[in-house]
Formats: sequence, structure tokens, C-alpha cells
Amino acid sequence: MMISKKDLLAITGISYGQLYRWKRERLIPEEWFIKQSSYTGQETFFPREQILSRIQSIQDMKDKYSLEEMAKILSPEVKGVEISVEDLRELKELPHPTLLMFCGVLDKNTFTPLEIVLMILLVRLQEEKQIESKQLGELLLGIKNSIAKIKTGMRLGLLQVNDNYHLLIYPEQSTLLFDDSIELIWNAGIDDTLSTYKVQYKGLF
Amino acid sequence: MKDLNFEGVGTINSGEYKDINCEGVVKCKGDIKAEKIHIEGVFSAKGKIEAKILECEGTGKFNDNIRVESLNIEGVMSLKDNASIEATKIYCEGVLSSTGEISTDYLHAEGCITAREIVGDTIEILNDRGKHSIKFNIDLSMFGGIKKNISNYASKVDTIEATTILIEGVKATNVNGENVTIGPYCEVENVDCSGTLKVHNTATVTNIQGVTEVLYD
Repeated sequence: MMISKKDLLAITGISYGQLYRWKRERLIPEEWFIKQSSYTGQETFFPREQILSRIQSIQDMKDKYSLEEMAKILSPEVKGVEISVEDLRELKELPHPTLLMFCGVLDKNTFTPLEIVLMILLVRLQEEKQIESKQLGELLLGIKNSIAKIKTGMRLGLLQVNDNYHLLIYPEQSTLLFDDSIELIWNAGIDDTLSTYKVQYKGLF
Repeated sequence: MKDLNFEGVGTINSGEYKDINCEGVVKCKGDIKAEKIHIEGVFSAKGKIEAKILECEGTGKFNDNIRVESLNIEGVMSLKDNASIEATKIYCEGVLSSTGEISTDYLHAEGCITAREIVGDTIEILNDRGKHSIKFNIDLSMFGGIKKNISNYASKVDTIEATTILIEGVKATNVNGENVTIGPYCEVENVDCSGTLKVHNTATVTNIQGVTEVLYD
């Protein structure tokens, strides 16, 4: 869903000056400024959820961090490191039994920042959609071979086909069209989650 | 990082420099990063320019994006191929021509600007040339009913969008802002203002959106 620039400024209370300053400082990605034709020529729209969440993050951080620090935190770049299970125990978002299940299914004990984001999203999905641990393990197994291809700028979605669930990993801002028996019942952005945890666990990501 | 000084004809390869001083004719082949670029001669750049200060007192032709803290134009600066300018501050007493976006916290222009889009916090474009500009109707009805409106504004911008906007002698299609002042001899097609809108009695505004009250000088 999109939001117009005018509505965005009205809802968030930010000025044109702030919006363009944050764009110049790379706090808001240029590709989120989507120009569409209107009766006055062109109007700019944004991906609604992403821009609102990003502006909230900027407003929360702006008194604690410099613009440069915020740009680093909010950029989708991640450290090229692997983090061990022992270090991941400090993440309260990953309950220990679930973490062990991830280790078992993925058959590894160290994880990249993007894999950790994926695990955090799966835990959130489990809570929000009340999915059993066994079923979550099956879903994870289903995307095991695709995990290495996950990049920033993607989203994780949960598809419901009749009574069955399937995971979907797709690029941000893509239009997904399904037949009527398939429904996207949950989705979350990798970049947004990454930004959130970059702030929360500065050293880790 | 080294300084580069040109008084004759020269070429710059891509790279990182401290101060670049161009008093001759200089061609820049790639992306350049510098503390300060000063142009008094003719400078043409094919790559991206990133600098703290860019001063153009001569002629600058740019084919790619410019990202600077401070941009001072007293000469002629032109950007092609939708190249954009990102600057904290822009002062223009010369001529600036751009087919891309100009984004800045503060722009003050008393020269001539032709641009597709100027966005930012405070935009001031002041041309008293507007009142001296050629703006008259040629009635050639006796020669077959042709009636032509000829106008020549010092500054022409397709879209200006900023928190605070003050324009004089400017022709614009869209002006969107919070505090907008359309000064003398402006011709604006659409104004969308969410705060205070002032329009001078010599200015022409076709459509107004957002505000319910317009203050006329």
C-alpha cells in the first residue's frame, strides 16, 4: 500500500525540509520516492508501512545519534561476520529452545546477520500466527535451500493455501498476484527488522 | 591527498584530492572527491563530484551527480542527463541550469535558474528581472488570427517544494510548501500550501490548493 507525500507529511508532522534532508543523508532510500502521474503532472508516493516505520525510527533515534551514525544504523549493509549460538543467547527475541531448533534444522552453529534476522522474523511469525514449533520447523526446512539467497531489500511472507502454510521470500515493492486459493496472511521486511536490531544490539550486527 | 592547480589545459582522472583549482580548461574523466573545487575557467566533468565546497565563477558543465556541503555559483553551471545536486547550502548569483533534482537545506538565488525540480527546506529565488522581462501579447489577428503570448522569465522551474518558499520573477508549474510567498511578477500554475500563502498583486497563480486564505500584497 502506498502513501502520498502530502499525506505522509500530514500524518507524521515532519516538514518538506526534514524529508529531503533525511533523503540526502541516506536515511530514507531514494527508491522509496516513487513518482506517479497526477493531474498536476507528477506526485510522489512511498511504500506506506516502510516509510512510516522508518520515520518513526529516525524520530526515536535523532536525539541519541548523529545523522551519520543513523545512516549507518539504518543502511541495509551488514557486517560480513558469523555469530555463534553462544553470542546469540543475549538476544531475548530468540528463545533458547527455538534457537536450538534452528541449529538442528539448518545444521549449523554460527549464523550471518541476515540469518539471525530471518530467525527473529520466524519467531515473531510463530507468536503472531500461533504456529506450533513443529510446524515452524517444517516451514524453515522448506526454505532451507533458499536461505543463502536472502538479501537486504527483501520481505518474508506467509502464504495460506487452503489449510497449509508456506513461506515466501520476495523483493520489497514487488506486486504479488495469486489465484484466489492463495492468500498472503503475514509479511515483514528484512531491512526494517535489521535496522531495529542494529540499534538494539549495536555490536552484534 | 594532493592539490591540483590548472592554469592551462588539463585533464583530471578519477580520484580523491584536497583542493582543485581550475583557471584554465579542465576535463574531468571520472568520479572526483575533493575538499574544495574552485572553477574560474572552463570545467567539464563526466563523473560524480563530491566536495565540501564547490565554487563556480567560470563555466562548469556536469554530466553526473554533485554532492557538496556548500555550492557557490557566480558564473555559469549546467547539469545534463538528469544529474542531481545535493547540497546543504546553495548561493547562486550566476546561472544554474539543471534537468535533474536540486535538493538543499537552503538556496538563495539572485541569478538565473532553470531547473526541473528544486526541493528542500528554504528556497529563495529573487529576480527583479521579472518586472523588466519581455512579457507582452502580439496581436497578429490581422495576419490570420494568430495571437501569441511571449514571456521571458529570468528563472523557470517546473517544481519547487520546500518548507519555506520565497520567489520573485519566477515562472513555475508547481509550488508546494508550508510557508509560501509568491512575489512580484511570478507566474505559477499550481500552488499547494499547507501554511501561509502570500501572493503579490503582480503575480499570477492559476490554481491554489491547501490554504483557505490567501494574503495579497
